[in-house]
Amino acid sequence: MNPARILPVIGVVLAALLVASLTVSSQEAEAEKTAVERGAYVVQAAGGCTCHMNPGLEAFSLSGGRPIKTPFGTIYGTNLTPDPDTGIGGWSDDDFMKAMREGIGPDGKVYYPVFPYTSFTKMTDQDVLDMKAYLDTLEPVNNANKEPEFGFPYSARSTISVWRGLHFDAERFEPDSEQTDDWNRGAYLSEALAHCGECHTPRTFMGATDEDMYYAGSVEGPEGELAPNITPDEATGVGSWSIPDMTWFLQTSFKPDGDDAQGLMGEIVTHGYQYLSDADLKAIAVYLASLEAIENEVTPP
Amino acid sequence: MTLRKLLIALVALLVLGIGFTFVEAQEDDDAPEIAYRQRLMKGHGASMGSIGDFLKYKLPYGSNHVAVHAKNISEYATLIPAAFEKKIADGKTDAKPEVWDNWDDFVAKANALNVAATELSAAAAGGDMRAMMPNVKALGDACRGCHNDYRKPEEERYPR
Repeated sequence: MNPARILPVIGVVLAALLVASLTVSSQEAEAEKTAVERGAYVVQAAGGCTCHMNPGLEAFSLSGGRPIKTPFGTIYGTNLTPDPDTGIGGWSDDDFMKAMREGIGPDGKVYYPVFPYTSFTKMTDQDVLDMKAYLDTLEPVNNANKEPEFGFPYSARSTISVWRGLHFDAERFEPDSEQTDDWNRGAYLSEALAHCGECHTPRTFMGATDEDMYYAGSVEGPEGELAPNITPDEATGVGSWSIPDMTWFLQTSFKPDGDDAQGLMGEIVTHGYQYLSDADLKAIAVYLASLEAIENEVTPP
Repeated sequence: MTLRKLLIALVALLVLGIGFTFVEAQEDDDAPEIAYRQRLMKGHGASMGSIGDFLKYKLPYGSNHVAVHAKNISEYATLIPAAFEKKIADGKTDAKPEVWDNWDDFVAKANALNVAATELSAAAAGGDMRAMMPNVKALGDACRGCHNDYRKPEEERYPR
């Protein structure tokens, strides 16, 4: 066999071994935690799944009903509690996996990508199943899901099928063996769980994230909120933030100048990111700092 | 055009002109109060930023630094109600009109900030950085709790 052919094979084998060893060591450290505990952490890393909160209840509950305004219309967060009639009670593991990573419900209905399965598709089997184990322990609340209020053509679910054909690939996260463990963990957390790009990457007129503007900020975030540029551009992004600045921000919502994040970002820090380990928050910061700096001033339209 | 129509048009222009001048003059009159409020808020932020620097870099100056900055915030918080008492919702301000619609709640939130900052100051005196974190987060909740209700979100802020 010609050496030029063998070399890539050796590379792939080494990368696979590296990934396997990383997985084993993190599994050992995590072995003491139960699936439910790990799942609670996965939910926190996803920002607390606050789109699914129930605005009708005083206490925080993921039983849905929250209206979310998008440029295409208003959609309502669904019920994630194990209520058998209106929630995810009775869903099998496969049902949940398919919903999270393919965006298809147990009844075969395709989901609007406002639910970021475009990110969650990158999650590992273990994280998805742990998440379900945790959600299954929530207090069941009977609260029927509401249909989205989208105008035509977005109101037709067949439109989503066309969109999916163009913009959705069900693919798991692939670690990059050339990068550090921190970077890979940060990339996984940011892309698969925290789904940063769903708000911080601007969308094309088709509603797909514009990958040339990856994390460069959007003036049309959910609820009409501005999503700042989080690439390391000095003038328009977070290039002046150190790794500890970003870690501290995700932990407390305080920016380097002492101002706090309002709105949706403040909310997901409160219900999610603040609980992540120092190592995981640092990993996200390392990943963000490694991104291509894109100059994009995000100011109100 | 009849003379009458011309007159009406002139009067209308005059009234509009006065209106604009009045609004501008009003905004100018309010400028010192707005500037003072914004500096007071920046003062809170400067202290909070300093607490952040101390904790994220574990600076070796002794935890009295956090205690002093937190004490500053607690004292600044007592100045908020007087500084915001006059209703100024127009001009170069990001204060929402709701401040004056829900005045008692606004004052209660300023008091909550005072309490949260006082508690962080007390916790900092103990010197244990880890033990301070719940108080830092509670202080963040106090800032955000008021900002979410009474400060315009970024997309609605006046152009800088």
